[in-house]
Amino acid sequence: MSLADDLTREYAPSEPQHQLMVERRRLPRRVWVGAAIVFVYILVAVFAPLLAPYDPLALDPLHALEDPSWAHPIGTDELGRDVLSRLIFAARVDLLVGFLGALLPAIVGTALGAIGAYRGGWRDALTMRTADVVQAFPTYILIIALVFALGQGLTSILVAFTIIAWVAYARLIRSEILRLRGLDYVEAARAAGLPTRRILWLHVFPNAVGQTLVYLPSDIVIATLGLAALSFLGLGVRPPTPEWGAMIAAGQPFIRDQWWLSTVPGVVVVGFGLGLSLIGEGIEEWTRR
Amino acid sequence: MDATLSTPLLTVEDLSVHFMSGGAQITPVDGVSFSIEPGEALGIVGESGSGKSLTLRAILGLLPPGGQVEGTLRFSPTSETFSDAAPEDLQGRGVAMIFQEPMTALNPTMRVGDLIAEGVRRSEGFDRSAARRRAVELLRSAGVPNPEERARMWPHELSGGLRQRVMIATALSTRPALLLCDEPTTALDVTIQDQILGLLSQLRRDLGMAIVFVTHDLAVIAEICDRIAVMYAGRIVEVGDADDVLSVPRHPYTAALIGSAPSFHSRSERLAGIGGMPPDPRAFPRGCRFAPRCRYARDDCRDAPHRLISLGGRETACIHPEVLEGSPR
Amino acid sequence: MGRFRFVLKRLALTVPLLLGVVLLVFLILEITPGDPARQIVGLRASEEKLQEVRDSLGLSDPVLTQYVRYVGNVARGDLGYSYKSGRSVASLIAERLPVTIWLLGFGLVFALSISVPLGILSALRHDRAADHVVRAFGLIGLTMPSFWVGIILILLVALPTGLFPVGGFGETVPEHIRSIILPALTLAIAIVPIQIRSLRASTIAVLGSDYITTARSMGIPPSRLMRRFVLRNAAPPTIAIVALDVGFLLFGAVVIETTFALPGIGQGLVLAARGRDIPAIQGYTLLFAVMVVAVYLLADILTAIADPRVEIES
Repeated sequence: MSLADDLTREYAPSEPQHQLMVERRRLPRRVWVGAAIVFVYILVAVFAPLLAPYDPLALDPLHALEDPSWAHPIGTDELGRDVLSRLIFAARVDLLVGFLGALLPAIVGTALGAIGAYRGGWRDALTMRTADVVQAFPTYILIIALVFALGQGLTSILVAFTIIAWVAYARLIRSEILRLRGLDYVEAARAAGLPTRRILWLHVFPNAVGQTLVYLPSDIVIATLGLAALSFLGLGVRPPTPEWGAMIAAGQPFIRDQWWLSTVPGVVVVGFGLGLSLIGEGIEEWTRR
Repeated sequence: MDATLSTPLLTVEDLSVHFMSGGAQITPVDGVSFSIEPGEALGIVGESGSGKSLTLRAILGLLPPGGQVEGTLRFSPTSETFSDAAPEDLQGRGVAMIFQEPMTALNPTMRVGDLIAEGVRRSEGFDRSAARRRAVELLRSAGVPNPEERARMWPHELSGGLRQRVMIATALSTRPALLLCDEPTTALDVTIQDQILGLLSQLRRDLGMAIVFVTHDLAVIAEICDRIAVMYAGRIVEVGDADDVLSVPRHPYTAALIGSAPSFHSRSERLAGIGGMPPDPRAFPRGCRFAPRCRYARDDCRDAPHRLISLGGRETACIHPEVLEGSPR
Repeated sequence: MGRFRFVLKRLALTVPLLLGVVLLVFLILEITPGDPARQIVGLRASEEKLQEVRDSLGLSDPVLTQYVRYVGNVARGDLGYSYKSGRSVASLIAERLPVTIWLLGFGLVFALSISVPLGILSALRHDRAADHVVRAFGLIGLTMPSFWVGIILILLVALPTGLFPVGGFGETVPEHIRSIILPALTLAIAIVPIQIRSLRASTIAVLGSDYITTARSMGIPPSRLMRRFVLRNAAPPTIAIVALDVGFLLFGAVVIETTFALPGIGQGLVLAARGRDIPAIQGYTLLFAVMVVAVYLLADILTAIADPRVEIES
């Protein structure tokens, strides 16, 4: 702690130390900005069929690689499909994999980590050793290998993400539980004879989950970018499914004359990522104070 | 205090420290003035929050970010005078400081000998090996047993008392004429406290070094200081010869401090409460800042401007020191 | 001496880790559908021919035997034979690895020359304008897909100037350098935000600590203060965080090599995956995993050198 902290602490009226329960303070503004952005993306994904002017899979080779116009605001791709419509429908794929690709590992990892941390013993050791081996692997290389083994497609990708990403959540929840377990109020609950599971659920969990919530938004970004990268490499979604990363790849050969084909999907990805990052940073600020 | 014609070693005039806190400016050190003669030991005593630590740090320009200093410093280690010294100028040039928490005050990635050698090279321009040898000497004079071995050790390998000695040696490396001590014994246990105080006294004698000793512990002040200044709410409220002030206080706060540590000769660690709390710097009371807690307070106290009045060899800010007459400690 | 034993212990732990990694690679490809023997003999070969080839490849043996044989081969440097490309996997790797090393090397140098000054600047001016700007850029940088950044660089730099060939690595050293600059820059952009964030945080923590105050009271000049007192203490946590992200770095290499058509092991892996070249995938994956473990070890060593408080875990 710096001198400044000590000094301002000395001079500030003493505030009760809310170490455990998260106070009901106002969420920082950036959370709302981020949430608004993400909400727009979700709306686009959900209402894609209504919003997209064309069928994203409709081929029209006679009108391939057209410049942006009123009919096609972002032009057409190399097979004559409307880029805007593909962009809109791609939101479904990217958001789905993005959210699930973070949520599934979160559930699995938190469950494994919590059981290991609270019960200890061989459960904990096994979980942690497995985590070490998985972590020793370069994440995406393992994903590539797994997707290769399981066959291309979204299911394989989600399975692969889950197998890799649970580790972070397990470690997060584990360190939080271990930290909280020693605190007085848990001791009190135990002394009062509450069964383990109740203690875990009612007391320890709600507080431990805080860190996980901070991490989730950035993990969603990672999952989305992961899918985009895999698709860019040709190892992600199967064509002709529209996906932002795949669209960037498809546009690369035409970068000289139809530069928007690769550029625009990237901007869309960055927008989504920014919205989520704002939420993540905001939550972190909120839980830190 | 005998009138002397020699130049004081350090003169602090009207020192103030400002911070911005939540949009408002606070002034935890408010117009502090004092001077120190060469070789003298001045103690500054007060509760937490009185501004005593900040005063020391302000002299060396070591305030945390956002802190601003106002006032005049005059430092004359030799016969010349650095008038209007900017605080940073004094760093490593005759003024050194030791801190309360030796664990965190030493660079964890430097062997202690190397750290001391840094200070030596800075002030004397020795080469590496000469600086190392001097560092070992300094460790020895700080009472560190086996200094050659200890010089090669890392801070985390040493005990609290040893670390404090290392810190003293580090401070001595720049050949200070004045040593500022910010509660160096507060974090140590009693036996080590004794040793460190003894070491400081001895160094004063051997090197003719002056010290300013900040603490909240009256007993420590009584033991090693010649003069004492009492601080309250950012101001000095009484200044004078240590024995005098402690036996016949002329400010109600000083009296209260002494009264709440009746057996201070046996080194009570904390002062027993005086009742009430020091004022929040964001809302200092008008007039005498101690008046709200003073049991002798009168109406005119709340309008009294802050001034140190000479009174029989010492100075006090109380406009009614007579209330203490007839009640020496 | 405590630090030395720490490093030795970490080295010792690496061996079982590596074995586990080999096992994982082996298992993954065990479950892959598709028959390597079939791939060799083609669709029209007879059952007997198929069986012959399977036997010669050792595919009829029990899984455990195959695994042991694989481990033995790996230990001897034999990573299998890639039918698709008609060469041993080891030779493929030997040819492609240098390109990737160039990319990683230049990328790291570029990254550090951006992240160290900016990280420190951000820390020194923290919560002021410069800090907010740096952090905003960092945030954007984190959300930009690296392949997209590469394409943008191609669009804005390579195409207009014609100075930076996109595709291939060239024959001579100057050609190597011209081919690697844009990809390395792309890689740097990908990792700089993380480095800045970590360096900023640890520098702020260090700047607020008491030993900096002590050093200032000794009159130590700012440049020396920065190097010996601030950076030296702020570096270890950053090294740790950056090292943990090496997986991300290697994947960046994979993606960037594909974007710029650089013939490194990243592109090799992608081509092998697309072409279902199992021995090659096995080999590349193993190599990547070993590189990660090596980097973790290196990071531990660097941390032990920088921070004397590192001790054997109890």
